Amino acid sequence: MDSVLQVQNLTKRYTRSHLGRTTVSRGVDDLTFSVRQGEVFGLLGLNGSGKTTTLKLILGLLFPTSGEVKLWGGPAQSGEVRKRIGYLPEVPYFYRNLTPVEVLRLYGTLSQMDAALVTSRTAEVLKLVKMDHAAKKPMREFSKGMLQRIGLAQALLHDPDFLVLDEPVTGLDPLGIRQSRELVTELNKRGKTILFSSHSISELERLAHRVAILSDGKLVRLIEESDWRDHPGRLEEIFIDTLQKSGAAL
Amino acid sequence: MNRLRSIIAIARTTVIEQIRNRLYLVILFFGGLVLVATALLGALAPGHRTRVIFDLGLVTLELFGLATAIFGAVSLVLQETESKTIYLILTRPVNRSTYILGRFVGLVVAVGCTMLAMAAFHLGVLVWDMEYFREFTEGWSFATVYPMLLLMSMGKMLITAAIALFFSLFATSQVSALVFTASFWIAGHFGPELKFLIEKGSAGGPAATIAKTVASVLPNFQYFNFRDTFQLPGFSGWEFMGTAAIYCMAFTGFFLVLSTLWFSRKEF
Repeated sequence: MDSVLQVQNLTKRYTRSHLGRTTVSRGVDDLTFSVRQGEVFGLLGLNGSGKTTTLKLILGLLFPTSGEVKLWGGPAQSGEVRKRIGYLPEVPYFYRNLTPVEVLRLYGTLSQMDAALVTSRTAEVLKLVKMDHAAKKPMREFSKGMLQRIGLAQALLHDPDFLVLDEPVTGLDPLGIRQSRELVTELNKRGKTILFSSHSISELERLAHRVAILSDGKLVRLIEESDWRDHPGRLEEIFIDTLQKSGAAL
Repeated sequence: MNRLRSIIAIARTTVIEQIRNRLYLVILFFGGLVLVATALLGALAPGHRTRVIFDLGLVTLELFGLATAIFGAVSLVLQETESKTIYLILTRPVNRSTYILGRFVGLVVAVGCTMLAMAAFHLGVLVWDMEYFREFTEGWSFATVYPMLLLMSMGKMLITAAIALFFSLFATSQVSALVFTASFWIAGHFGPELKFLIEKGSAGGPAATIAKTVASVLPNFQYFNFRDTFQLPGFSGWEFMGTAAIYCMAFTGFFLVLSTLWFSRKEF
């Protein structure tokens, strides 16, 4: 199966200087993994394990200290590649004084969609995330859950082939979590490749085909769906066991 | 073509954001209020009523234009970085230079519109009493001078906004970016005096070289001083305007290039 994403020996170290003292901290260390075409790939780890750093390195928000990221075999920074990526941050922030329609028009144009397509897709995705009733309200009036739905709408607007979802169920109510899960399943059925970071084991258990466990910036285990499917709670056991073996502070 | 569309989209969003920003509306409101106050002050100077409204109005217009430009430039990128709204822009096929240009163009359009609105209001106050106004403009062309003065104020605003944008990229707080920009703006009005002091005060050596370099980096707003020069003998309007336009473009361009270089290395 072809790889959509290839991460090769990816390392990120943060260097900070203060009053002549330089401190170096580790973000991620020597990560190597790939995400196959059409799969849902999960990144699982505790807070601070390097999940968001990994996603930011893939998306070009951070620059690697060493190693490389390739998407569809090419550099992750190229415009042609970026057009095919949809990203949902952990907590999507938007311009408070703008409406969802205005924000989606901006993101659609930046994704190089033509104006007519932006208009039609805006209506479609707002309906899909059940936010069409609030299309022209300023977003300062929105709850966290509503913002998360708009976040999902902007990630899907340009019909990307590869979706990067950072903690997509954070802030959603139980109904929202269920709808989000159904949406991920549906998108994957339509052939979308999904990279999904979470510390919600139950969500990964239901959605992912493979899961990479991160601990202290390192990839400590890569597991296949067959290892936990039909064994409820098995993924949690594997996760705890892996962390204990890796010496993570639990 | 895609790049231009992206710049326009970011600029349009910036204009909408600015216009709906409460701080922006407060500044605009106070600007209008001060313009009304100039009319009241004018009433205290019999015989010079229109002169007072003209002078104070132009100063108000420039200062409030600059205030919106500085606050806008400083808060745009800094707030966007803090609020993380920038993630959703930079993860799309958008160059970082496109983002900086779009933001700058949007800010300049928003502030330019504010200044034009305030100028319209100022003109209304000026021509309120037509008799005084006719007397005041006798011997010079108001219709040429006023737009020129407005253009020169906008030129200064452009440079100051570019400087503010640059400082906002590496400042850790809005206050420090504001202080840096305000220092440059003040120093820009004392360019010739600064050069004179450097030449007089230093006998040479590394200190003098450093001082001269610093002075040359600071903006020189004397290039925009149309008001004190247009009535001088031998004054050439085209030459003045050409020099001011070239200086404005070069200085603004320089700071935009610096901003782009810095921003392209910035991590989020």
